[in-house]
Amino acid sequence: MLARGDSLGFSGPSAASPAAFPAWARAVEAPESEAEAAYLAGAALSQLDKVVRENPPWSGVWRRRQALAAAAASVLRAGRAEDELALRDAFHLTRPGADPGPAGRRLIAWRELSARSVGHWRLSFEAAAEVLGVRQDEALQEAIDAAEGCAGRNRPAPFAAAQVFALTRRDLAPGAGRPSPGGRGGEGELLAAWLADAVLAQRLRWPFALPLRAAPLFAGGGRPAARDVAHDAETTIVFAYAKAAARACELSAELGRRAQKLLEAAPKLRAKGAGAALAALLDEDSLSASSKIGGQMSERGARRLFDRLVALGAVRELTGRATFRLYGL
Amino acid sequence: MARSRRPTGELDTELEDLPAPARWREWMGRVEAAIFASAEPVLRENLARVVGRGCNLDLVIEDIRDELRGRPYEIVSVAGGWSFRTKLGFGDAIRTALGAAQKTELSRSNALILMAIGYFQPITRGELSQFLGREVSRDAIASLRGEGFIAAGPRSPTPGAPYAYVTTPGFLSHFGFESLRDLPDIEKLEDAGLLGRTSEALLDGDALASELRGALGLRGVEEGPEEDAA
Repeated sequence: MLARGDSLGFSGPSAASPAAFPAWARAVEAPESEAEAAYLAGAALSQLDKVVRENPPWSGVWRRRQALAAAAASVLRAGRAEDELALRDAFHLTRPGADPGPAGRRLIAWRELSARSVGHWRLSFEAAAEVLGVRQDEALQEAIDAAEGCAGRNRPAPFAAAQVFALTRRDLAPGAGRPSPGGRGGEGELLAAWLADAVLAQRLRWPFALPLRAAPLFAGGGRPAARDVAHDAETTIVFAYAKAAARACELSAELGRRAQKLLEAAPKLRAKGAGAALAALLDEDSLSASSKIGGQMSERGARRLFDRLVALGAVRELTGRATFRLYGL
Repeated sequence: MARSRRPTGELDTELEDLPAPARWREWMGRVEAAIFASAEPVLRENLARVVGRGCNLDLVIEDIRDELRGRPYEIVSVAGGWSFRTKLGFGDAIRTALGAAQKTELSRSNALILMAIGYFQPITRGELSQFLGREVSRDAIASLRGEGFIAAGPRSPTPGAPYAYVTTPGFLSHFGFESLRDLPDIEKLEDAGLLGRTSEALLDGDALASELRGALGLRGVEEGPEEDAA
């Protein structure tokens, strides 16, 4: 790297990011027909497919940011007040084995989605259900079977995902056989969205799954009223995938630019273990100075390294606090 | 290993020598006996050890419930397992017969603290004090922890990094809830946007405390010991 990092950082985005998301494929309004929704979903997913297959070095951050957004939407949907920062705190400040609380558990469930390769989503799903405290019963088993059935058939990916969501949401309805708690999004609905994303990734033969379904589904928050039925309609779900895929592409472009900036700052770092720290920053949504990085950096050393990266504009401090700081791309 | 395996090895779970109806009855009997004999909720995996591989546990439980119709007790599904509970209406009778001294009678103030943790978890002792408008003592927290109702969750990103507390599966089981969504009137709090902690503004004490007391009327607290009387 001969060029000076700073000047390159400002002029370099085109070199770093994949082709920009084409404006014509961007979904603006609700589609008038199923064909329109399918067209937009196909266009957006094929853009997304390029990025996923390339499996860029920063795909770890990307997947975990998607999981964070999905968790934030699910928490909102459950009627809770936690935002992304509160979710990050719950994740970082819980000792291993302790309970991160209802919101933190949702984040962990979404992170499970891309924790293993797509072929092993069943294992991840059981882990996610366990974290959420959902019992391993017939309904859960039926949901898994339904998802496997849809993944095995030959429908186009977004339609398969929509079908899985509609089927399993019924199976996993909040407390099946119990008085319904008013239809607000429970853990079951989260798991249905989770399965839809897993099946989408499997149908597209992606190496990893990406949380997509939750953000548009739960973005409105609150309780689904009369539109509840429409929520399950294939057109609505397929269109939601079009929007979510476009957003994931935008996030990937942004993260690509930031990763490029981080890599350009790399030659200026002399700290021992800086390489491990950079790799961790490209893999994780956020890190604290006490995160074990590469095993050889002290907390003090990590804090100095992160502060230096912030000063270089290569990393952001995500909390705005003076203590318990978290750093990430 | 070998010791724990032997009894299940000896117990004939498939019961292939019995005709189907008798087999089903035997399975029902085993499941009911296991739940009856346990003080804690019995988990599915434990029950699965006493019935055949092709046996649908949910149907077995349904059939037992059918038989218990009209009895003053029932099998309820709590905290991920099943447990016998006396029916709600018999609480007064039980108290009259056995005296008011139930073993885990919560004091009113501890009950309020516990319910506040249930609704607003994860929440620190400091936030609880602020929220309830009076000091919540370490002793009160320790006693709730001792009862197994709460546990330490994430630390709070504030000076001293105090633990925020969360409720345990034991809490759900004791009060007969299957999940936190079964807490009384939780929807009112959801609609008011009161659940969970935001990153900036923590809870604004007094207004919320009275709202919480109003919404609860401490109902869940008084039902607890009655349901637990089985």
